[in-house]
Amino acid sequence: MVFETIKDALVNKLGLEPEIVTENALVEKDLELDSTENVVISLELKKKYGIDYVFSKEDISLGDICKTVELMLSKNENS
Amino acid sequence: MSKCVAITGIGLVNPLGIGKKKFWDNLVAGKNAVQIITRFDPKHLPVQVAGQIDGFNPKDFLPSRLAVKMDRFAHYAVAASKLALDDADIDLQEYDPYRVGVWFGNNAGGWDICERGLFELYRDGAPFVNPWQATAWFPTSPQGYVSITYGIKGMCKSFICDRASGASALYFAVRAILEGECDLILAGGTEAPLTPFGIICYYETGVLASSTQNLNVYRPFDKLRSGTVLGEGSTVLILEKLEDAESRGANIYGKLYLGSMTTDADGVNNKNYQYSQVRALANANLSVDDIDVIYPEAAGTLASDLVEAEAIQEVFRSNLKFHIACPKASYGHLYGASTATDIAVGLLAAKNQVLPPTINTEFLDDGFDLNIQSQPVSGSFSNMLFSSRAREGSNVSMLVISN
Repeated sequence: MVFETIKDALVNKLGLEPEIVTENALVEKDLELDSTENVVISLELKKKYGIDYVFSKEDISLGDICKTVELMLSKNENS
Repeated sequence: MSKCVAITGIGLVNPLGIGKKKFWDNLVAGKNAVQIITRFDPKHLPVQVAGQIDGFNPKDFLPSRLAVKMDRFAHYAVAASKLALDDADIDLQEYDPYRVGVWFGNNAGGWDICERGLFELYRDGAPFVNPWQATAWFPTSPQGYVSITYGIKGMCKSFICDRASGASALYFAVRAILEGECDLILAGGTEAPLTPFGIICYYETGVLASSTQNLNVYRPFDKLRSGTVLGEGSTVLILEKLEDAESRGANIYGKLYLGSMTTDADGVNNKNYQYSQVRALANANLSVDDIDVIYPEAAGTLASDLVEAEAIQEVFRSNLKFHIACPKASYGHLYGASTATDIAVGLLAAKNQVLPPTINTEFLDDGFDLNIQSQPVSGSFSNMLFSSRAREGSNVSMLVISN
């Protein structure tokens, strides 16, 4: 579910080719997202889930972003 | 030292057509690209007609990832730049990037992204304003994206000067080449003001014709004039050092001479407009009798028409043959792209030996003795004067002699 949100933003708002948007794809190395594109992903996650996801300086896969977001959501549910 | 540069490429993204052939064919055929705006519902606006570009897809000219970060006016500029470079048969990879520049005029910035940003701010809240707002709306954005696209690293500049924005860019681009700053410049301008907010901002200045249905409302020098009609688009000209263009065997459309800029103390005095024309003639070693055609500002406002008509009649009173051409009546006023488009028209008219019609101007205002034709005219139109004038009186005049 989270991955679909991110993929939708990457493809439909940022113009990436859908084939390269996979859970294993690294944000910097594979997708070459710049800081403004990261902001768009963060905004979409905030809109959809109400969370503040901040990209770290280290490269990260889309799958790992999803895991972090799901963890944040579960913490919100439990709090 | 010669006071001119070579024009070797023309790139047009215009309501009459994308690319010089379609544009020219429609212009000479007397087609009117002013239409009722369809990009959004204009019914609540006092101005509902404009020169709108249909059928333009930025992805035909740009990677989609880059296109989403840019406003429409930058899309047009990148597209016109590509068309101009192709037309000039230039591969910038073969040039020293530090000797190439981008010099554009733009009056209004990016209205699409501004409206989007305002919606995001007031509808969704401050955290949701898009991350490109600051860079995409800015009037230098087209210059930036063109230089990024082509790896251009030489001196680049953008100019904001109301209706004379594009003429200012061209004037300083010629100077930059003549003074040795650049060898090759992509010069011209771009504009895309057709959004509800953009149109109403222009309307509130009092310069626009308030038409909701009339498509023939842009009538320069006509008794029935009621103001300017907005258009959108971009025109880019390739300017080169004359010697470089000649040595590479380029197709040289014409020579653009160092013009003249003056500024009036008020918006109704025409003396400094005259002075800009006289000095531009001198820079090209031409006399008033040498001029075949003048492409004036042709704003279609009473104040601007009066200044221009009276000045032209005074300066060129001994010239019994010259024509006045106002092609922008066919596609709307392009502000930052206006003068480059006029020059493109002039070069194509000289090449084809046909002066395109000035549509809509049917009843010359009292006291105006101007040779404005509503039908195409055959002849030689190689010596051209282009004059642009901002609302409160910044004047730019430039001479072009076609090859």
